[in-house]
Amino acid sequence: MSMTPEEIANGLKERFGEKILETVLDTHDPYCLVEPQALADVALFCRDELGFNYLRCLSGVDYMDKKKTTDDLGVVYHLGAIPDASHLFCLKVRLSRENPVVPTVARIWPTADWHEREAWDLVGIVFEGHPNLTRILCAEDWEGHALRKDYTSPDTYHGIKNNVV
Amino acid sequence: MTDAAEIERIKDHGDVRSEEMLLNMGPQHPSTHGVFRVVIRSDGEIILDAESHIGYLHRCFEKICESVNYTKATPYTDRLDYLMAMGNNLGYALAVEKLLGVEVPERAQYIRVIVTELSRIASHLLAIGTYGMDIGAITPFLYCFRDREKILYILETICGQRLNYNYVRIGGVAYDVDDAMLKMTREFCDYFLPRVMEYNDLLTYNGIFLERTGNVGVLPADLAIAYGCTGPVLRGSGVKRDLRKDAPYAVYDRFDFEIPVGSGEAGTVGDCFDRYMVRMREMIESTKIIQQALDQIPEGDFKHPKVKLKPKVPAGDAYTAVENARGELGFYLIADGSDTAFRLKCRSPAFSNVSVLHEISRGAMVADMVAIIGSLDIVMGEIDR
Amino acid sequence: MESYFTFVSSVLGFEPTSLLGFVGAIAVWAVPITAFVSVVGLVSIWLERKISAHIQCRVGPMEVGPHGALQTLADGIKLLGKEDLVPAQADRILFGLAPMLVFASTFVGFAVIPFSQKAVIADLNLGIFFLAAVGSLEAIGVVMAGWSSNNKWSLFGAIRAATQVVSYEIPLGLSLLAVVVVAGSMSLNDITQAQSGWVWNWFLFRNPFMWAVFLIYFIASLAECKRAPFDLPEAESELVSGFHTEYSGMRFAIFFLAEYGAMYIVSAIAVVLFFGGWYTGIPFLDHISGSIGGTTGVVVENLIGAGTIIVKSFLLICVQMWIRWTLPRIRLDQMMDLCLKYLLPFSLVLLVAVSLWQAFQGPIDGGNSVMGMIMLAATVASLIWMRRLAGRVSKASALRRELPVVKTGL
Repeated sequence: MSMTPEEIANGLKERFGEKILETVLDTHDPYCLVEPQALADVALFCRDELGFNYLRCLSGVDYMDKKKTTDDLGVVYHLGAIPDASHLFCLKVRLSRENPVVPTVARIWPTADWHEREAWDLVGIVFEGHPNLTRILCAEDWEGHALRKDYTSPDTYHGIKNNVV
Repeated sequence: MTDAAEIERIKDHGDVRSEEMLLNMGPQHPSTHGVFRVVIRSDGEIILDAESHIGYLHRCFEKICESVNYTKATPYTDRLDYLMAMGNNLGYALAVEKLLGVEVPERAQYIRVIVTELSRIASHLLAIGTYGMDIGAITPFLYCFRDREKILYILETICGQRLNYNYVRIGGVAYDVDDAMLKMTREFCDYFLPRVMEYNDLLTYNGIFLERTGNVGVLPADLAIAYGCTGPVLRGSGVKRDLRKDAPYAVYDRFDFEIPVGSGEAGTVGDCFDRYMVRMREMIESTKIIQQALDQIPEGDFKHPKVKLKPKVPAGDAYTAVENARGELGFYLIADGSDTAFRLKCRSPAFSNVSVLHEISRGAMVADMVAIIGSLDIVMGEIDR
Repeated sequence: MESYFTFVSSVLGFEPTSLLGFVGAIAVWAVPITAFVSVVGLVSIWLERKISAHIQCRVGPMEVGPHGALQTLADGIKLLGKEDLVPAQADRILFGLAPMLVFASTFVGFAVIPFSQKAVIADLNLGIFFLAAVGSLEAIGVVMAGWSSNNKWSLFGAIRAATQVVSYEIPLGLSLLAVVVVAGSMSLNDITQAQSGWVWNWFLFRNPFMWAVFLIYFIASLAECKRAPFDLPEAESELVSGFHTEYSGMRFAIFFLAEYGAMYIVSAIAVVLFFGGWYTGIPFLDHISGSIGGTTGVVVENLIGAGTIIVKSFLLICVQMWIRWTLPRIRLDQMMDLCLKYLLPFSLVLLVAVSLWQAFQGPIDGGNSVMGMIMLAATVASLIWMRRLAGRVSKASALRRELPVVKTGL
């Protein structure tokens, strides 16, 4: 069952064509950059046709660097298979800071439910169609998303002073 | 009330239907192993639904790692899974080393394996001991702690810490180990193997324990994979998956050891007993690994000579996973060429393992809930990060 | 009211003429019982701590008094000094009454427990019946405590306690009945006297079924005391502390004392019913007044009797503790399964068997002694066999003997 990254990338390109924006294979985790709106379909294809039955990791990322060359957000999906540990691939999406919306994969891999809630909580990425997109680690009334690069922690929270040196 | 209305009422609600009750288990509860909260909707003692609430220990570990350099972030990884801090150190060090592109000296690799496996035994001992306590047997807990204490003592002699070691560093380990420690570890292995049989005599094959854990909280293999369960939780469901064997890191490919999986000895494959038993058997396998590592450990450097204290990691991203006591601990590291991580996502095993709780606790009793949470072996430090 | 007075008079052993005398007479008996219950509580809590500690490779309390003997007293004083908390939403009246009711049910039981032939507060002619009746009163106190605390976990504990009463009372009653059939009386005094003489005259060895009857009684009595593996109502890992979660200070101490008092009562009943009560099993010692004579003889004989029954009861308490620190907790439905599906039919069968045995074997002269000797020998033999079996099962202990001692300061 184990496929090389080339085969996987070719399979995806064959099936989704234009929607696969970029393919990078000569890196630690070979990946395809996917158009956000097509992500759910790509993910379903990966699970059902390519045998990725296991979502190893889902990371929300804020790509804004110090020089502000970009202010994109992104989501990185590390796919794997059980029990075949060498069957690996990675999907990435890039989202605009103003409208960071990506379809949910919580119905494809139930483990994504909590991971997506975490990405919403900490990075502020909206997962469209998620069954319960609420904060998971921070308090429900917390403001802002802590892992954004431009995040500043609030001075007070319910009367508790913060940022006191 | 008219007869018709009465009939309607019975039709609507059923004649003997009782009222449902919302039960708040935690955040302060002796069996949630930390500040974990489950809201249980129950019909008497039977659980209809359970909803997990986490985040009480959240300290935004990932944000901290973006603001301190790579070496300074190591102690923070200790606090993730504080019962197996060596494994966290190792996972983090491997993630950074992967991007750095350094190969760690052999001796350091062996030391890493030895301390990680010792740590794993300590973690499993605590899991088994507290599990016995959840079921109501308090004595095994103290037996386990008696032996865990010996491991903590060994680890204390090499790094001065008993819980948060900060020992496995980027490029090697913090200090070399001496012969006294190796001798002590060997003696511990000889001492420990018969203890496992003692726990089995005392707890595992006790009739009440079998009744309480067999057929309880059954987690089918496909559900476990879908929910991203790893480690003993997944292996308890009969799936042979262990990164030490499947995707060997450090020098795990040089050792001969088995991967225990659940076989439904006390009932169904994937029940609480299987998860418990996998841990029990893993301790024996870990002891075997330590013994082999002690035989093979070479002389040499204990850290890479070129890795600086404040390494600058070349830009790139990589996901690195290790097999921790609770499952696949992954670090997704994005580096931007500076001495500080651009983004470090920690995929903690217990986070995914506990997310399956509501699926397997449905229809169980309140007493089973305690057994199920215990068998998932959660550590809130890494769930809440 | 009149019948109540008659009942109390029969308990007291004389007829008080006025209300004051009535109250005074109760006080005269109540003070020594209270003292005894407290001492039993202190001793058994200390024992529990030491036994559990030694089972768990610890030493237990060592600081207060020799081997921590006064630790319980120190804890009692601490509990006395604690604030008496009542949760804001609790039902204050019931909340206050519940520990008293629980304690009272234990306390009243001590009135009929004999210490020797003479040293018994009330030799009721239906002593066993009385004990079973007041013993189950405790459940009402527990349910009251759980309900009035206004805490869902406490309520769970209370309902579990009620379920447990319903389940274990029946096999418990049936096993008591089996003994009554053998003794032909419900009076604890009569039952004990039927076991005088040598060890094999004890009811445990009276016929082949009595061991099974005793085991059923013992299991049910563990449930009555809410001891592990039947500590469901207070299961600390599940229900935090069950029905007494919300109790603090002295009220909690009273619950605690009542629990240990109840342990003594069920053990004393077991001793009276199966282990010859205050008889040592050696006729010479049991009738020492014959050889010493006079008042001294009577006093010594009663002292030996009281000492015997107390020691035997505490031995049984130790067994209860041993079980508690070894076994995990059973689940609610498994407890009901055990009591209703296995113990109940089994005890019914035993009752019939014991009755038939009594009907056919009873008239034979000397039959009891012969049977008793056979059963005693069988008991000793099976205990030795079990010891050897245990040694064979425990491979770990065998391996431990072969292993070198670790000497690295671990």
